[in-house]
Amino acid sequence: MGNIDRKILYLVALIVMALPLFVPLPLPVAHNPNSLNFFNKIQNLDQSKGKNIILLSANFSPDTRGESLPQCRAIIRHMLASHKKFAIFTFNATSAPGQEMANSEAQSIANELNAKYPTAPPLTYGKDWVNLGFKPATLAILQSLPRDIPRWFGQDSRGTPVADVPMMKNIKDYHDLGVVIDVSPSATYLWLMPAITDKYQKPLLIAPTSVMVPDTYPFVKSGQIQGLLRGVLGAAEYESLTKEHGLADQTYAGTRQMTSVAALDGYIIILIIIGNVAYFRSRKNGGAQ
Amino acid sequence: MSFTPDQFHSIEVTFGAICTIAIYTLLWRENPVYRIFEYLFLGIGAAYGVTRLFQDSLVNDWWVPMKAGQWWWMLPFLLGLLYFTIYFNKVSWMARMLIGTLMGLAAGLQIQQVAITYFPQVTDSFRPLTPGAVQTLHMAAGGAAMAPEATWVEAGNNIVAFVTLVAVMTYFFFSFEHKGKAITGTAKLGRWLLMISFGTMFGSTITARVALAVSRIMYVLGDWLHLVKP
Repeated sequence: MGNIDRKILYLVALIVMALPLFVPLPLPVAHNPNSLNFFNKIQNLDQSKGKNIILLSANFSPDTRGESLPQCRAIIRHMLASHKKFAIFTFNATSAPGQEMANSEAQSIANELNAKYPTAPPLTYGKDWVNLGFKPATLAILQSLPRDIPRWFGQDSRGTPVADVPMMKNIKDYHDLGVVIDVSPSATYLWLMPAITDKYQKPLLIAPTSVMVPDTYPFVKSGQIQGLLRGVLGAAEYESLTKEHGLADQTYAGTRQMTSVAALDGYIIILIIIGNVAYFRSRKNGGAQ
Repeated sequence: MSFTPDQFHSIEVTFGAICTIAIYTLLWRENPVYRIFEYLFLGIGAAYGVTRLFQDSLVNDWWVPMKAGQWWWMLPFLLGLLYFTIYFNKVSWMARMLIGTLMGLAAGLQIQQVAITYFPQVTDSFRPLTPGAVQTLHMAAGGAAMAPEATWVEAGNNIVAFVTLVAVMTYFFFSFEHKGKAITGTAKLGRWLLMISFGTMFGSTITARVALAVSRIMYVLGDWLHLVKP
């Protein structure tokens, strides 16, 4: 068994991953309380007075696009479909493209929704969302953000002074923040807690990659993190929640991706079982110890 | 020669797909194509990062305000120059002054960060271990009455967390020699629990890597070849 060429194993893995993309498998997506809390925090946010905007920190780069972007896309779709105003920015020095990728998703989803509901007020940049761009910041710099938001950012990614962006008219300081979201493969939430959310009692929702998820559970349990999307599985759960609440008529790439991930996880489990059986049989026969 | 946006998008996606396939040739074996594209990726990544930092930080946040008359932005630049005095023995003490100030600042911030971030963790490690206590504390915090099964599950979770905390701390307690069945048994349990938690982390890592691989397959088969939904 141990003599199987690894190239054959890779080839089978490729087929196992690709097959569910051609033949969709009806894989049920379970409800997770952390994803539901994430969804409800956004859904129940009251922005009627032009305040309580959502600060979406997109701290990811192309290397984790495969996990972070489906999460970001699912969150943005929910915010646009439920008309929640949000401001995108990136502060992690190694994640400069994050805000551009998030903004491009927001534009593409807004175009799609505008075409689908032509009689509804159109979703537009500046009114429904804004890209505050890439502002490389350390903890020391980030701590001054909540005190004067327009001044901290200066101008948005299009060069408009933040104070002149329509949706930012009533936004001055941390009192005007509703929720902070961090989509990131790094532990950037450890900076957001002391700088904004724990310090000023603002809800923090995070969307880490699967690798980071076990590290975040203590913070979820202690209530410092109030919503958690667990990697691409979290994206699939979120798409499912958005659909169930009538904010989307279908699930999207996150769910399709998760189906392939589940298929490959099954394949890996089978390989682990085969490998262990082969190992114990070889030990029994006096082979490798 | 000019391209329409659609043509440019097609070229972009084709180049992305070629890069993806080139990087995955490593699965076959180490080869020059993989190396070229690996260096290309690193080079583009580094160049992009430097450009963005230069434009968004140095130009927008420093040079532009200074040009607009805010001369005091010159001070951080002059202070920063002190770092270079380290190369001149006679005045190298000036660099130490700056480094010391920044280390003090970092230490102060770190203390604040640890207090805000981790003290709630210490408080949270005190949890009710019986269903009755779970219910009482939950209602005292303003929550609605929990279902009896939910209180049992919560109490069970809390017992697992408590046992894990004690066992792992015992395993890492090196101030005295681990002697006696109670201590060695608890430390051994701590090691097993650590292994289980590392296994969970490893499983999560595999899932993350698989998700990234699937996303590239979706890119090649969907965005590039249009064989599946992107």
